Amino acid sequence: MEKISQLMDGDLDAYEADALLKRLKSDASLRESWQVYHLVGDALRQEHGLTGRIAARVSERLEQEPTVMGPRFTASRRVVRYAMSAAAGAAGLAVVAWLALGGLPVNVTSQQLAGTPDAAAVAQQAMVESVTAQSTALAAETDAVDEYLLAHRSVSDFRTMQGTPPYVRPVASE
Amino acid sequence: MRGELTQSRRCHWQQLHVFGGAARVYSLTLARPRSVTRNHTRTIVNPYDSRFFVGPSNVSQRGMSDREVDQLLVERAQRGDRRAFELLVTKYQRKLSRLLSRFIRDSAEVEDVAQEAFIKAYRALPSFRGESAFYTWLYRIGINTAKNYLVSLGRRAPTTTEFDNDEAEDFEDAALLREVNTPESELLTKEIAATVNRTVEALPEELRTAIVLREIEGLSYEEIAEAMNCPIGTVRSRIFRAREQISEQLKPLLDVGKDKRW
Repeated sequence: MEKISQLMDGDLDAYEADALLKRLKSDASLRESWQVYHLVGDALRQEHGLTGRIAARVSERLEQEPTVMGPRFTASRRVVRYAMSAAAGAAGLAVVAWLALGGLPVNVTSQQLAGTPDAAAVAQQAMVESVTAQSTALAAETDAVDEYLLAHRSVSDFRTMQGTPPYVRPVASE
Repeated sequence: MRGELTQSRRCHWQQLHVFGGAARVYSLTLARPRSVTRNHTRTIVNPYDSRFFVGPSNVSQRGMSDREVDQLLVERAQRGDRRAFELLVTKYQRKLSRLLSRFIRDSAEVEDVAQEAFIKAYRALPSFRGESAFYTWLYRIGINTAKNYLVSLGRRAPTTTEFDNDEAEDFEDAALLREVNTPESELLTKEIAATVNRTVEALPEELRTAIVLREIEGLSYEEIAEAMNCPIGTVRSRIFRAREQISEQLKPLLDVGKDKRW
């Protein structure tokens, strides 16, 4: 009963208060203390009408009322926030996985995105051809660079190679 | 009344305080107040003095405010716990009645309107966001219910400027109250009031002081501890014991044991 007194006076923390409210739901003696203690306070403050008939009548009316549905704006806020975060994370992972599996060509246009499945297939084929051509060009360019380096190896300063002692010569390139 | 006590706390050893107008007089003896301010900053006189027990470790900063407790009850009610809503009705039924009785004279009508206001509040619980205190919200519902009731009877409804939210939060104008009880409820009300007053008078002085400071002055445990020069735990215990002793005297008058409400 002392806990009820403390609850009324704001002397319980949130955890204790919540636990006590759970007990109040099923413990009639605790509810009786809640009622009488409030009556004591109201009597001391000379409140209006100490008989408490309103609570009795409201209680009878509540029996006929449909149960109030869950909280929409209070306790659910946290749940909604966590759910939105989880959903955003899952959506991000799904997009990454889809891209990794080649689900979306990198250079596809918005028109292609809006097009038919046939258009998408054509776009994918075009992208493959484009990538092949680029690879061939890159290989030719690399050969040209190698030839240039070999031709000018005598003027290159190998001693300035970072992390290499000055007396070490890169024999492999000779 | 609040001002009288505040003034008296500035004095050193105290005196008689009058609460509840001319109807009730409670004699309280308060301890010498220490150098304590409302925001709980304290001047440490001698930390080794065993009498100096009120310090940061003893200051209750964990407690939930009245509004927070109401919010917990509302959230439980929003999850379908009707008992939680009934606890709110028990808590606020007389305060709401007092509000309504300011412009509805007949006690039966006051009860009808109050009952209707609570039912409307229950139905509207899913839309309660907790942005205002529960009683402020209930107050608005009560005022609107009373307006509609008076308009339906062709009577003058109160204007929106007659009551404001400040009054809803701190409704203390006892001079405007009217005795509107029916004969039978008035008899029971008088019996309850007489029993409470008689029991309070008979309480040990420290219990009487603690319960009056809490229930009438609305002081926190910390403030009562300062005023009575005792630990907060002692205040907590004294208030509980006072409530218990008064309750024991009241129960024979009440139809208790069947989960009835009064």
